[in-house]
Amino acid sequence: MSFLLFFLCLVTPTFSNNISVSSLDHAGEIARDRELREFQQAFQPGTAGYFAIGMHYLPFPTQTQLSSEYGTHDGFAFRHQMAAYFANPIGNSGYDLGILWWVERQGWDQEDFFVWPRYGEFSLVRSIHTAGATLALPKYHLGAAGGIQYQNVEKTAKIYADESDSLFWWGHATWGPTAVQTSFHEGEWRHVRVSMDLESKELWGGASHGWSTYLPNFDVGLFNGDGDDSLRISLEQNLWAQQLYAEVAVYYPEHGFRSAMLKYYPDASRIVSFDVTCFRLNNDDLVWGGGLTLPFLRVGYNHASDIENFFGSRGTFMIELRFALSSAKSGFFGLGAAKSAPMDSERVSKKLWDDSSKKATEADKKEITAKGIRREKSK
Amino acid sequence: MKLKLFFIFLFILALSGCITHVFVDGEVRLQIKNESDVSIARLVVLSANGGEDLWISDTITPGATSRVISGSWVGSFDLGMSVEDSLGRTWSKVRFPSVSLDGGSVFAEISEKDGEWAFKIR
Repeated sequence: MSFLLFFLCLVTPTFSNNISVSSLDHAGEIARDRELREFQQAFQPGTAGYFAIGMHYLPFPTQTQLSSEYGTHDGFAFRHQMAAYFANPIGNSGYDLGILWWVERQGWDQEDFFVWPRYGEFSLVRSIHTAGATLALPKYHLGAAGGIQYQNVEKTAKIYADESDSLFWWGHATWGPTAVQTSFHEGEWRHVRVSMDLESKELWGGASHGWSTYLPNFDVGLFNGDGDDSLRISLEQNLWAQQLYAEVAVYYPEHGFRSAMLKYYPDASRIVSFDVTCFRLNNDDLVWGGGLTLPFLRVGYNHASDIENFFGSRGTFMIELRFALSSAKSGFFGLGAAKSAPMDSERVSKKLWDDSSKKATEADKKEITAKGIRREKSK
Repeated sequence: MKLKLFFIFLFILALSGCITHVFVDGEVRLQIKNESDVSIARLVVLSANGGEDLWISDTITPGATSRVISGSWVGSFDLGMSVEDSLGRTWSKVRFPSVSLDGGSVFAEISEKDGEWAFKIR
């Protein structure tokens, strides 16, 4: 395993494609939207919590070189992320109150780091925080959330577009399969999202199989930005037994078809996945890729989500040390899963516990009668 | 046991992710030597939109070396330089396309043969 990873890291840097300054410029707004989209998936009324942590591992400075007006800079693109959401019932009211914090630190630096960047002459370091509170009424599949989204620009160089700290406000409401989301900056709306998860999921009280599990999930985001594209439409379709899915993303009006993914989850809980992806570049070239997601590790090559979310980086193996898990009353599962993970160990231990507790109560009964006899004698 | 090994491996991976800079330098400390017969000056990094970034401002006479100046230019860049003509009257510009620079101390020799200028890293 380690040999394979080492081999992949060694072989791939020579073919890697450079990261452009403009893709780093736009990465902040992409991250803003991704955090809110992830929250939308994590916040199903009835969820007790979601926790995720991740860090890209790029051992060579030639894997994610930066192309600037001066030439090619050796260095490291980075994306460190964490997400936490916890909800608890308020007494017996039936309401769940929750808090959330999503954070991502991203950019490009001349040296690799975990906490303290070098802040070099061509570095870009920014972090995007999404924080807020949630209120849900799981019985009626109702939920509302709101909070702030803050971008902190730690370091930016002269080669990048001007950028400053900014504070957005956001709101989110969900009812059954529908979710509506919006964000504002200084009184001006920045995005509106409507999503319809029509697919029936056993985890949220739906069917475990049948035609209703084959209904599509839509997500439509409308953005009020300066860019060419103002509409992002994505569709997720169950193809087989909630284990094989197709995902398609389309950008309007400029680019049209953006990416398509075929994802196979060996278990409907979505903790492990195998992906084959296709990404359409701005020059209409198609990039084919794929990846493998395990509980603590993700490996991808030309994966569409890396190209979109990791500054257009391609042509090199992406290794991400990560962990992400949701929990609800019924168990643990990955984002957007239809079922919770099978917990065999829990079932076995429960049976053992039941048997031993039965024996214990029988023994207790005997002891009590014996004590009674002794007491009669003493009188 | 296998799982334990896997976690130890992950931990080493995570650590090495942030210690590569112990071996890989993020800056170049450059010193140049003039091996030509004329004076050279102003080593710059050229930008694609016509601009330039001054790196070494020294004027270097034939056979002399410049000061050591550090810069954040690890990678591949177009370098430019001014050279004096043999009569010592006018300055003209020379371009070294796609010079590959590793981090750390770099000593380069600049020479001229039949009007062709070369930037050689020792």
